[in-house]
Amino acid sequence: MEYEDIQEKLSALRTVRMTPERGQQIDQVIQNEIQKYQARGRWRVIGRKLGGVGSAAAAVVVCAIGVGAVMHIHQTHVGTTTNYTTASHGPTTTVPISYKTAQLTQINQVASAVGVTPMIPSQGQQGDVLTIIKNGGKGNLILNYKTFWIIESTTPISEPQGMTTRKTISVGVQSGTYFSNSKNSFLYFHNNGIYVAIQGLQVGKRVSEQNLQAIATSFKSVQ
Amino acid sequence: VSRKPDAAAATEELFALYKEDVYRYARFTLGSASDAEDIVQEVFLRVLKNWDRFRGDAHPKTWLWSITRRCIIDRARKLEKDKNTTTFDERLGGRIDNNASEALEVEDLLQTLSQDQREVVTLRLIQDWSTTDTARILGWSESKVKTTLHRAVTKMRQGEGREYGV
Repeated sequence: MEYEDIQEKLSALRTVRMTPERGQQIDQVIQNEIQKYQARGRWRVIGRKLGGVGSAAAAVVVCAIGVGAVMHIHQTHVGTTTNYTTASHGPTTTVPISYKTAQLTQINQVASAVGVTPMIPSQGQQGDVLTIIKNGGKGNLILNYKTFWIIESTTPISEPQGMTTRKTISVGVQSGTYFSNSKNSFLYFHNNGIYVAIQGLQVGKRVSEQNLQAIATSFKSVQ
Repeated sequence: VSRKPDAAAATEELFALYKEDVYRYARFTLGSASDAEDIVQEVFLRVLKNWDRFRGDAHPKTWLWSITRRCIIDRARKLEKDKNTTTFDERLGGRIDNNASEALEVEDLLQTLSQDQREVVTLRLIQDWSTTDTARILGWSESKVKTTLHRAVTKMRQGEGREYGV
């Protein structure tokens, strides 16, 4: 092979990989889109079955099923409201996060491009600053901080897999679902028409339930 | 991906199999870790959206690389105004399992090539695509692939020579 020398040199590049954190984010965005795709497929099938002469009626039924499905998903997320967990089990160690005007402008620009009404936390963990604002595809805004990241979506976000804990906790006057396993922790909630997922960004360093709860409770609209 | 599965299953399978290869193709062509990560996301969203239109007349991997290339071209156009803004630190964002400094040095050498040359080198010499498949992915003739590769390798050898004072 006439290019063996260069090929051998280039072999050092065969092990270059994405950061696990970004890989995880992309995976989650894709799972979310797959879920939306599958939901659209189910509705198309129902629409076809009910089509023909009664297509108008079918459309009404499909819409009703659609609303029901969203409500069901939302209900699944929040579960029962009788067993709220509060932050009383451990200390909350969050600190205020400050934003520059340019960052707020950029959040608004990206959010507008994807069709999301943005919200941002005013509390984070020690050292947290906004590091990345990403377009996560239509209906999805991604915000990265040093120790956690957020998806804000116009549609329900798929639940994380392989969790050992799943419970309903309060997020201000509303409720959210806390998930965790030995490696990571997540808090999902729904506010102001936007589905939000917060999760740890540092591999092996879970954000505590109390801190996730405090971060979620501190969400405010972007001015 | 043997039989044609539905779009969701295909996207999941292709993502699990090829996300890192797609990342490397984009990263070495564009020279930017963060742009390459964005492209991985964009590519697999396009797979989900367009899978039903995939006729199966090429291997799904070849089809995937064609999508990746279109995403790279779109991104390269957007980046045209911000040329040479990639920083050393940004490239360190990608994980290199062993001998990071050697890999970064090789990546620097790769970045001395034109985008066409980087693409051909990545596909042929890093990702082991055949000349025929490379031509198909790039939409070029096989002779153009061979010529571009030859020129790229010549330039890299000259670059190496300069580096070591030969």
